Amino acid sequence: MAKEEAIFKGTKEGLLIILDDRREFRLVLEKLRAKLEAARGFFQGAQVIVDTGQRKLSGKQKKALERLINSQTGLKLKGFSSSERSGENLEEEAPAGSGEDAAKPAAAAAEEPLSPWPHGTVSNLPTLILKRNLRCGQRVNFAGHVLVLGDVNPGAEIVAEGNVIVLGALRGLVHAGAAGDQEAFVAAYRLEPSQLRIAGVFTRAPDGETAAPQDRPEIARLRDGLVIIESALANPSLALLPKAR
Amino acid sequence: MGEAIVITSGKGGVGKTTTTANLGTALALMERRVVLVDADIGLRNLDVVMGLENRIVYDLVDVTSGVCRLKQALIKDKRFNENLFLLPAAQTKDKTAVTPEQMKALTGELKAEYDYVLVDCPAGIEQGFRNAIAGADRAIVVTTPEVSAVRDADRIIGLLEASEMPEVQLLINRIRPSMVKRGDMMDIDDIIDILAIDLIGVVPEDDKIVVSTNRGEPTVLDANSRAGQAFRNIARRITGEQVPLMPLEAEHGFMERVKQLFGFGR
Repeated sequence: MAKEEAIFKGTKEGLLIILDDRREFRLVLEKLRAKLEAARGFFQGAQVIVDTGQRKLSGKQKKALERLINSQTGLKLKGFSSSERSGENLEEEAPAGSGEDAAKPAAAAAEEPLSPWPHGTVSNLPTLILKRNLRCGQRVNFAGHVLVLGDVNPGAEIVAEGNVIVLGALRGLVHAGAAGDQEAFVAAYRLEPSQLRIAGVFTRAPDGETAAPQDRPEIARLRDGLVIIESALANPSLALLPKAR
Repeated sequence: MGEAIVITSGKGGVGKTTTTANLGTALALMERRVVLVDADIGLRNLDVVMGLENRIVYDLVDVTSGVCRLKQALIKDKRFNENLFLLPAAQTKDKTAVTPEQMKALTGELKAEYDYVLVDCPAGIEQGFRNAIAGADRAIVVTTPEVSAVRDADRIIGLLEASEMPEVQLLINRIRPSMVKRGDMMDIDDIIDILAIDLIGVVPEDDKIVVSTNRGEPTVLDANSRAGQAFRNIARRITGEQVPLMPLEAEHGFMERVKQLFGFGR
């Protein structure tokens, strides 16, 4: 199935609109207009960033987008982002041959647009770092990622709009992507939460005796509306850089 | 200058008062000057456990509200020549009758005179808890090997850390080695794994505690009691001595003792 012409995402900075970079611009613009009309008033007061992916916009196209977005009540276009722009840091790591990469099928990972989280490999959401144990009755609520250098004990709670990473035992309640981000994940050195929530999906620890605890990092994320837990070690997507260079 | 130690737990019924009475008595037996403070205002019973109930004239609230001088309210335990005193709680008031500032001043005054001020904290995390920890230099968190008690201990440790208690140590009470062995009870490692604080001692379940509590004679006075031995060890650790944990596997039957006598057993 082809992806949608225009995808809306809520981010910390405001509304992110991702435009399909493969389809004709006029068509995409039309779709976006229809979508914005349909959602009239819903995004009241939002700052908008338009992600154009691999497409290079002409001045005229930019103008058209700006007109369309600013014409909606309460919306304000803040800027554009594209794969070329946000990839600055990564380009240093891969100096040569990036032009050829595009031609190679093996370089699929490198082609992924490096737009803001969750679509790319980089997230610039703010991160809260806790250098202590989170104990029963203690609660952390944060509009970004949460990194705990310690344990999260039963009865403690972490609610984060981004991802949650625990370098220790996670035994409490954790909610990643609390603002609705379905791509959010929870990773822990020992993943034994009493309850785990990602976006709107809730799961809880199985009843009865569980296997003996093992110190093996695991990661939980959503796949087809279900929380899937897998070893974080075997997971290539945890690698910082795209593979196949 | 002495040290003020609060005995706390969060959950009720895990043995705070028993611990306070036994550690205080053990320290007094070691010729330290000790005062026990019952901070459980309205539900006092440290005096009962110590067998000093009928000698109460003034109480803690009388001292903080200026009805009497501190010296007048202290009850001397005659069994321990001038080494052990009790400041009883008021029975007719409630926790709001005292403020944390008053408790701080009170423990400060007691520390000047005594080597150890042991404060018996009420259950819960409200005002009574705030009062009890106010003047303490060290906290001993008592828990039993039950999930609910450990959970509450964790909560308490979090609150103690938040209030910047300089030293927090764990005492595991009422452990039953045979049940742990069968896997029916949380073991020490499970508890330490969750609570992640220093262990000051483990006290085995002991029927003698019930008897001694009812009689008003702390168990440490009984040379044959396992729990008494454990409390004596903990008292020595409080004074800074290095004492190894005693083996818990000591629910020996008669035959085993005989074997041990002849050098066969462990």
